[in-house]
Amino acid sequence: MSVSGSDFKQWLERHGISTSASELGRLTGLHRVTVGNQIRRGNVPETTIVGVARGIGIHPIAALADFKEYKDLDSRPRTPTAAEVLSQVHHADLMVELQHRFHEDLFPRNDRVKIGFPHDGSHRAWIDAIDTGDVRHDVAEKTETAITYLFSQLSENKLTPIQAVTAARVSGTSMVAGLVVVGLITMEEGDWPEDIRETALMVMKNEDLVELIQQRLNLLQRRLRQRKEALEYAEKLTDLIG
Amino acid sequence: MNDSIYVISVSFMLILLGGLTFHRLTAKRTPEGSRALLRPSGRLALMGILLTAAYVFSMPGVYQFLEIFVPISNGTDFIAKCCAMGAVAVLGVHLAIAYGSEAATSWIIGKRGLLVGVIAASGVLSTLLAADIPEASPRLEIYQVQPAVELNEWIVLAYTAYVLAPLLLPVFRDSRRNPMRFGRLASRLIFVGFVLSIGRALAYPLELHAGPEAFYIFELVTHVSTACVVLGLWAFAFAKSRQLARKTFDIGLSIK
Repeated sequence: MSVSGSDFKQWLERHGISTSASELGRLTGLHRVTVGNQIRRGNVPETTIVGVARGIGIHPIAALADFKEYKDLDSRPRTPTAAEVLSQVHHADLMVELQHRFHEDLFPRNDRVKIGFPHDGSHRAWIDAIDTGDVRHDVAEKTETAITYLFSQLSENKLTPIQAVTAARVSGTSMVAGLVVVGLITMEEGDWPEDIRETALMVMKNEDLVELIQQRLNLLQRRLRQRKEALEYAEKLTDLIG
Repeated sequence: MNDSIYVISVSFMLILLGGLTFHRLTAKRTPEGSRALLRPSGRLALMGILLTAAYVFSMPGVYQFLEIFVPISNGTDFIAKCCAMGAVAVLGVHLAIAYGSEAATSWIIGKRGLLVGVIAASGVLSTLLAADIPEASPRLEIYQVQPAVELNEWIVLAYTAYVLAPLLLPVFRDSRRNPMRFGRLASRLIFVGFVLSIGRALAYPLELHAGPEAFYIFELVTHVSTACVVLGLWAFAFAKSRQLARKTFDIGLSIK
């Protein structure tokens, strides 16, 4: 989903920014034809708004909040919950922490979490972290997305900004955190301290760490099984027909 | 007169022998010599040869040349149509085995498949003999107004529809469920080809109503249908040779 072309033009005029495609292209780093097409088709993606905002020195959250779809974006504290932060830690890093807790000499703790985000399954992990009951169905209904399509978006790490904000809206968590998770804004812009993941990992209780790893491994096992089945089916058919 | 009776009886005998050979080649218990046909590459090769032969025999120059040797007037058209029906039957067997469709397999091969194939080939020959077609004409184009020729054409279309119809559901299912995007595209192409072929057989009364001048427009439907199916098969072959499935579904744990 994206914002309408007319809303975007009005927003540009309000901030005294030229609506010419070449100027917008210069600000966003996109090709002028691409920006021109986005405006002409009436679908301006959030990445373009954020790009323009960064180019003229407006905070991306303030810029997005000027649009009706995101007007309540900054109405809650920006700080993410510990569960949200930990959802963005890869299970390999979780296991490094577990090993360290078993034997700190043999497995020294890393100063930094090694694997960045988004990582494989990080969008789904974030939704799981904020899920208070039926967040997937609520998001699908409110964003008019087919639930099966939302599932595949989560599997492929393709959650859109509006879906992330809607998920946060229905679950009562920080609405900015979702935008950091989907990569629309940086950790710094979302007020996430640089070492937030390391801190959350270090203070995590042993039983919570083991449970989180178990959940992640279950997901990994399911994903591997699905991929193996898909591979076997596709290979069998291509071998038989091709 | 005696010559004609001899040619006709030999032709029917050839149809019967051809049908029995197809039955034997595609039966579950086959002799060692015909096992090659049970391999996908063997079936595809045979289908390609038969389909190419059908098209080559219908080319005007080749058609006129072959007519010199064929004892029945426009007998080349009968040979071309038998090749085309044979190609369709082999394609049917190939896809029925690949998609694992028991229903399609039982329709196309076995006693039922043999019976329908023999009836169709006999029908094509009978209508050819019944028609008044003294001059050589590829696809019997100049005789399209004759009821026997219309029936002759329809038998081929009907046999094609008979073979392809039970495959529609498995092909459609795969075009939606194949986990590989390229596989879905290939199955969709095959599905479109099948729908066009079956559609032409069902819409044959419309074709008759349109008159002989529309013959090549309807023939175009068959050409497009054949092209779709061949492209779909090629797409599967491409996926196989490039190992697209293995590249798409990485089951390794590395995230590098």
